[in-house]
Amino acid sequence: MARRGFTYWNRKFHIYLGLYFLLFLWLFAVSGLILNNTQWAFVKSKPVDVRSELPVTTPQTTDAFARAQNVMRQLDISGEIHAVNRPKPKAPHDLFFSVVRPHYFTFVQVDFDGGVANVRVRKWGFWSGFARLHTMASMSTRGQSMFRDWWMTKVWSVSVDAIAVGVIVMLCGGIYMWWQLRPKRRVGIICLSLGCVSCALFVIGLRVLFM
Amino acid sequence: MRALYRWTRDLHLWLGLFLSPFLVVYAVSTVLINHNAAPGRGAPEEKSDPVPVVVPDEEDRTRLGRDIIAQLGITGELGSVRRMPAQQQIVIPVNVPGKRRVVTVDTATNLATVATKTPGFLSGLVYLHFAPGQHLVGVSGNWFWMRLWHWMADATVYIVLFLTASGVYLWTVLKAERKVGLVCLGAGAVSFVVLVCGLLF
Repeated sequence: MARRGFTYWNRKFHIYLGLYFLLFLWLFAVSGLILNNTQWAFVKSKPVDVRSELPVTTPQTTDAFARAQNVMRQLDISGEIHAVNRPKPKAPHDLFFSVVRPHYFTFVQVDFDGGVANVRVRKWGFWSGFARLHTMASMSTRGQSMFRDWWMTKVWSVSVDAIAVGVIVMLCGGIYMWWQLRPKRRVGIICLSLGCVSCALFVIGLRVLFM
Repeated sequence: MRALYRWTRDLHLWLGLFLSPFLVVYAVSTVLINHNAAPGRGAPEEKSDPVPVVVPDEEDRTRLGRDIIAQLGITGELGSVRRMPAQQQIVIPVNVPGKRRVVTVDTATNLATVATKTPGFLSGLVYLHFAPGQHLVGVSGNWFWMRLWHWMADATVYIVLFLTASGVYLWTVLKAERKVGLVCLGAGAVSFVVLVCGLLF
């Protein structure tokens, strides 16, 4: 009875989870395809730069990251800080930082003595912004010492984890449901084995074959 | 109609089973990338003794790299090959999922050394997740197996799109699941829109 109960709920869970994650899966699938095929003509877009010069006051703190956050508040910029003083600011500027949103980057150079911030907003086309949603939670490009500093990126990163775990749960549920269907077992075993062998070739096989 | 339902259900099942290991690769590597795990970061590096090589007069850096690694009996996906005239060096990164080699050729002496790191299985998953990726356009896919992986990565997307679309179709046929299903679909759509709008605007 308990087993039957699990089968019943597992089936429901498979359907409901799949429906809940449907748009997320489409987003990551299509953006993944775009990232893998950046040579496609419709994906390519020339960025457009918009420059401005805005007044800023010198923050109390001397910490570069805290200064960047303070300047962001002053200039009403929101997003994930990508890099601070990387590359190093050129004189007369004392601070350089870049802020990432999926469809645009903001580069800020601040001259505290002059009380001026040079702001450059670089906007990309729709598909580039769309694809950046795929990589937005990734920390890999930001260096070991960086951390997520924007609450939206934190929420997005939790969602990404949830989708990854959800996909694994759906797979396990799907495999369980298939195993309950006795007439489908033979062909299913062939399909699953084909998948396992071809995947293992890339994950383990290449390293073993090409020592 | 019945035949369409049966075919869709079977294809959903067979393709789902075939794709499941690949989806596990993407899901596990997603969590690793999301948490900046960089598995195998501290893996030890082994350096070979210098080996004499012939540096061909080749403009194309990928072809140059491929020629040199062939002389050393190495194969794999080449990264960005760098000529460094000031240091009199050519640096050739060679990757196989879970294994990284960097071949450094001293162009003054024509001696090559190979530094090998084997960060292992999880690192291989992360590497495959990023391959071919948005960078190194025109360079990536220079090794047959990684070109094959590129096709496989694209095929994964197409199959996922089919699995999700067929899943929606199979759900619509189940009248008993429509109400709760619609609630789940709606809840997913609302959270998706809120999150994406929050990131964009």
